[in-house]
Amino acid sequence: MSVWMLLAVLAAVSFCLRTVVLLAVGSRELPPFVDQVGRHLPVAIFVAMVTGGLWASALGARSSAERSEIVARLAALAIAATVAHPTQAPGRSLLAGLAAFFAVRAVLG
Amino acid sequence: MLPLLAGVVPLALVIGARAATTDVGALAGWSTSWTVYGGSPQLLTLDLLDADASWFAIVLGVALLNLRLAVYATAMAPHWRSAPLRWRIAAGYLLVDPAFVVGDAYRRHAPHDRALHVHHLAASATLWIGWLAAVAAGIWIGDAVVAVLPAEVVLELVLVATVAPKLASRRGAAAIALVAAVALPTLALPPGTGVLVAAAAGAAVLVAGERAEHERVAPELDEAGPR
Repeated sequence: MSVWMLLAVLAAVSFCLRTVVLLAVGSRELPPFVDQVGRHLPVAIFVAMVTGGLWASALGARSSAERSEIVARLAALAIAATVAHPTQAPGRSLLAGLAAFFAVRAVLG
Repeated sequence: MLPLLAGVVPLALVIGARAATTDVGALAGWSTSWTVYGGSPQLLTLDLLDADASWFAIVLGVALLNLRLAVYATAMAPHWRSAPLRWRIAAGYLLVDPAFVVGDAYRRHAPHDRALHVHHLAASATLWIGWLAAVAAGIWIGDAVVAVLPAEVVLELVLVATVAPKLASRRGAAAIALVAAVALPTLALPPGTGVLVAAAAGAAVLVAGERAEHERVAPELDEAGPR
């Protein structure tokens, strides 16, 4: 299968996953539980993506450099979260996190 | 949406740079931005294409990663019932994590559903245009971006910067602890499914906490009675 054919299939799959529910629900009423869960899902999914990625990297770390990288990532996440809470500015939070990541990595070697 | 766009631009640059440095080709790599459209599925597509993975593995991996978008769409659906069909199609196509976060935040203040639809679509379209431009810029800049910005770290920081303000509570901390605990054993599952299992546990904690708080506050309000 060529790359372009594959991209067409990926586009169709991604589009369907995104739109089918929005189109299928139509004018039907959904239980209030759906709305309640939906409000908390992005937070839960984002946390799951971050912790899952960190766990995978931590379990796969063999050298001291890889372990230092994990520590630097944890420090970066802590700083980014600390900055994001009062400022509500994702860009500033991202920059603070990146600065912490490079600083800790440089210190730990 | 502009602050969020500033937050996701580094990730888009990293994806563009990754596209430029793989064997996929710059145009095909950039095209993942409007076909697959999304940080983690685009990175997965580029990595698997570069590793000569089978098309079935790539399609399955992207579908699993994008399953969460179907979950978002389910949460959005009650508020989009009154929208015209073409608006719902556009909202679906443009649906990514930051777009959902912005729409969900605005929904609480929206005077009516139509205002929500206009706001959501305008923010999503802004994000989409900015994303395509930033990925193109990443392809143009190339290797230098990958050397400066590690993709995994940028992706994690974008996610944390987006949700951190919502997690500064005892309930939020409990949800993080539970998600982290559940995420560990789900690592063996195919990519994307582990995230859904862990997220379901976290969402359950947050919903249970909200209900408990509601039940605690409701009797107090009843006792206070009308003044």
